[in-house]
Amino acid sequence: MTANIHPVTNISVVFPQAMILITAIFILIIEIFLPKQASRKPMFVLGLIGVAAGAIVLTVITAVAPSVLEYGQSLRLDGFAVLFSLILMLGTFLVLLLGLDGLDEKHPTGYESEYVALLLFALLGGMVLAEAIDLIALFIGLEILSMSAYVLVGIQKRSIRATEGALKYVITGGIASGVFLFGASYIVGLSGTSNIYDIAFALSEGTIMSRYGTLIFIGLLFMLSGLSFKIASVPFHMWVPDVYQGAPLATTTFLATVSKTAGFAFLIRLLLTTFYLLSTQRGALMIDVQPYVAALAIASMFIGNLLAMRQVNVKRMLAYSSIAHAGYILIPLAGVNPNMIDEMAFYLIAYLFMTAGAFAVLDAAYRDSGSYELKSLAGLYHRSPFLAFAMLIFMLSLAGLPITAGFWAKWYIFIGAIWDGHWLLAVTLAIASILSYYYYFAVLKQIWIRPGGTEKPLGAPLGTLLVTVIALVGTLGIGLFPQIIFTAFQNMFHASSMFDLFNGRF
Amino acid sequence: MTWEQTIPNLIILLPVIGLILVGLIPSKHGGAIRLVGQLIPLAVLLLAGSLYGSFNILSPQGQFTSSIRWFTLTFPGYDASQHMFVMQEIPIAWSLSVDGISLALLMMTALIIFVAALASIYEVRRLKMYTLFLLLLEIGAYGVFMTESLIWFFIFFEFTLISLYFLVGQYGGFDRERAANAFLLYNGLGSLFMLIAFVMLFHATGSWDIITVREMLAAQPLEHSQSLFIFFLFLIGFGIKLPIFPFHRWMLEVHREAPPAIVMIHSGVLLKMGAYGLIRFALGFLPEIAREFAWLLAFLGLVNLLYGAFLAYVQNELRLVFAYSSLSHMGIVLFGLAALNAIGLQGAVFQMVSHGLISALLFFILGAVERRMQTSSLKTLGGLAEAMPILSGTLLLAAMANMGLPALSGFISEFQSFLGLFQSEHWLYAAVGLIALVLTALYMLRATLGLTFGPLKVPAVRSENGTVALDDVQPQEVMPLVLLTAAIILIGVYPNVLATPLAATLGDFVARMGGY
Repeated sequence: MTANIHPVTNISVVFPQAMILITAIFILIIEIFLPKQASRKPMFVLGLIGVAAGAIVLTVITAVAPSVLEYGQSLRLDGFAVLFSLILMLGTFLVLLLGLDGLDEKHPTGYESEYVALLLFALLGGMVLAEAIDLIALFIGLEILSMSAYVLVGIQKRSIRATEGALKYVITGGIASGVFLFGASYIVGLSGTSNIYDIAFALSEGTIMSRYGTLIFIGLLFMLSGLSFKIASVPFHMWVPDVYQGAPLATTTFLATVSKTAGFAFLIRLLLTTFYLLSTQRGALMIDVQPYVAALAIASMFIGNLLAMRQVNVKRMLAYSSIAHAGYILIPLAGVNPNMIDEMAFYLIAYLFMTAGAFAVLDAAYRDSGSYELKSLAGLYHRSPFLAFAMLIFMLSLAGLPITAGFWAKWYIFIGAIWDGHWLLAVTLAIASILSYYYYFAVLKQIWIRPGGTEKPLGAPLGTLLVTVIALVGTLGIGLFPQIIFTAFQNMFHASSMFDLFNGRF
Repeated sequence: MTWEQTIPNLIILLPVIGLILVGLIPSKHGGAIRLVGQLIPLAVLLLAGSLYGSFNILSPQGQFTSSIRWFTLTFPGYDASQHMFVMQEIPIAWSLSVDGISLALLMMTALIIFVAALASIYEVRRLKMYTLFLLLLEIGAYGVFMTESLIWFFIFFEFTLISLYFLVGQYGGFDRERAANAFLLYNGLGSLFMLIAFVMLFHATGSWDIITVREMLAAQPLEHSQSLFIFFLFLIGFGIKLPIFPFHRWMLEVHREAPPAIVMIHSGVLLKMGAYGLIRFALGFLPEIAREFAWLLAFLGLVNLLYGAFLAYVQNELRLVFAYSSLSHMGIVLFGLAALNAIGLQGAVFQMVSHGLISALLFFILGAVERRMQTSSLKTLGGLAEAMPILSGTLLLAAMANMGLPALSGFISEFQSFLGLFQSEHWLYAAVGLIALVLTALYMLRATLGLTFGPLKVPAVRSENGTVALDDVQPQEVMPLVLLTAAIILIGVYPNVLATPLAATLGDFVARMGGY
């Protein structure tokens, strides 16, 4: 192996993960000594502190690090990893805030501390996914995230829906992991290494590509399909509605934001680092892969949006919309352009804010009505103008209407798709957005237009309110001043980070 | 920034302030909310008037221009000579500017919105939400006509979409939610066509600034197929808004369901955004294609004109007569555009302004009749002149303006549009279109005469309790009627009030198209 591929090894790469891990274990230990009746709120606060500390440590390390750091040739802390780790941490922070006032007052689980610990473990897995450059490390991250998420879904073990969701999640997840490993075995077998940079190096040597190109391609398609489970896109999307509906709301938010972002982080890195530049008869492998990724994106957009139109349960509707959004985010990956990472990261950040916010408002309504039905939101405007206004912004943002974060995110993907003439993708994105107006406005119609059964003022508990406010500030702030995000990206990993990931091989 | 440059910004800022103010007032203080809702359009009207006063009629360029950099987009471009990507820094600005066309439409918009705000006093239910969305609609309506940036044009366009959805869906008639949905989906589709065209132009020119895009396209025209594609995107996108014949269904539903004050704005202002977009972008950016497809514009105009007129003749619902009449009159705007000469374009702009005022007046009167009679069905109404002579008289005046009788604004605008088209090579369409003028007289007279003359008929659905008495014009109705009527007569008697500020801009416009 050539040495110049890998930068300096430095133990500080794992410090943020260590912070998270220590917090999680600490919480589990405290739980043993806590009396049964005691409030578990401090546990959530502890979790919040742990995540915040991890984020601070990560920021400090990045600030003082002279260059890209690596640990044991399996974790790599570059701008890309920092950006995605920070998104994951912010997402987990919001999820913890959502859980602060009890996961579900009507059906207490009694496992609040374990819930916090598992969330932190899942975050740990997600961060490993964002930083892994080794297929083994990646798989460990993937499994930590998945295993924790299985339990997070089924934490209300007496609820039939939760159990059903968890079971479906485990089975689909298991199959997806198997599919991923199967694909990876081709690649590792052909290259003789599991480090993705080394794989790229090994595969581009000699005549491997011309002799085994088909096998590599098949391996890639299997890995792609396996990872689609995490990002909730076609083909492994069938779990999404049932799991989103059955899981406690905080878990649903986690799956929609953190889990999806982590999946995308690794998918992007894997495709760009290892595969997209391998030379084939048509130039580069990315040209061969394009139709397949595009097909996944288009199928996700249509399946998600069309099925969401028929839903009466808001959680289920947002689940289908989550599939559609995965489709939008796949567009830059299919229609490659130099801004693609910016576009996807922008969308993921916008999606994090608007989804967390929408779930928070839904949470406030659920705590009162005990139902996630669309009708239970009726008349919300009269009960809580602030929550109604917040939901207006979140829904407009999800639909991609100005002047919100979601608008710029979609616009950015849109101009990127047309940049290289990917008309089919751009037009599908446009049509899919129109379809999505229908169901996002159906929510707004209930909130603003339909009269509700009661006019009793509706309050939100502190945690939920905080999430709503943070998400609202984020969604509107990015909407009004998109420069914030562009500047942040510039500072974090320069606009040409894609070339950075290519490791100078462009 | 001088005071004059601040005025366009203030016109946008005032409704924003209004939004915040109304948001802070608790909904039980209906009077205060209503006051804000009326004062802000009044202030905007005065500001627009002061713009008119200090407008330099000799300059064809946009005036009172102000531009603030909003953000910078780093976007890859391809340097063909070196075969490599270069990162371009593309500034995206908040920029406002007013030229002759903008000024005419802005004045009309400010007047109609003020009048509509006055007409909104009959909305008592959920007043706060109504005022909030009306203010949002105002931001969009003022902004569309003034902005110099394609992105902001799109954003303002979408503001009107969002707000009108709620205004129709909440305050409309029986079938309001269906109308709101139809409106949303049709217009959402239209704005996405528009957005695709904008993004294509951005890729071709590397700018979102309207002036820059126009100049770059003039200096270095696109490939023919690409321009053709963009032209048709604009035609469909704005054609849905205008609306052009096959895309008009949503507009009828909105006209039928929305409350009168909202229809005044919708028919008066929002339809004109489609025409404005066609002038600014389809004609302004792609004059060659426009010349090539002028026959299509004329043909579509003819279809609109005749289809609207025929259907208006058979409607039994006054609202629908007026709605089809709007459709028909938008055909005349298309005629003016198809002429592609100064007189025709001037006719198109005149028609936009004049039809805005007339339809606002018609729908205001319709609202007044509906309040008294609780229906607007032509079959059950009649003899209004007996009970309310002044209202009926104004209705007749508005109807005559709509028919295009001389000394009223409708005449001057239709005359110019037709004259323009007769002078162009597509005069045949104009000749056939003349039939529509007769049809217009037929349907307007059928509707208004039946409504006003004869013995007074009181519809059976009218219940005595809680309704307005069968009185003539009430004090709060005087102001809208007077303002709109005065504007219609003023333009009809002294057209230069509009033509003078338009002349330089349109002259420049036609010169750029290589016309005369």
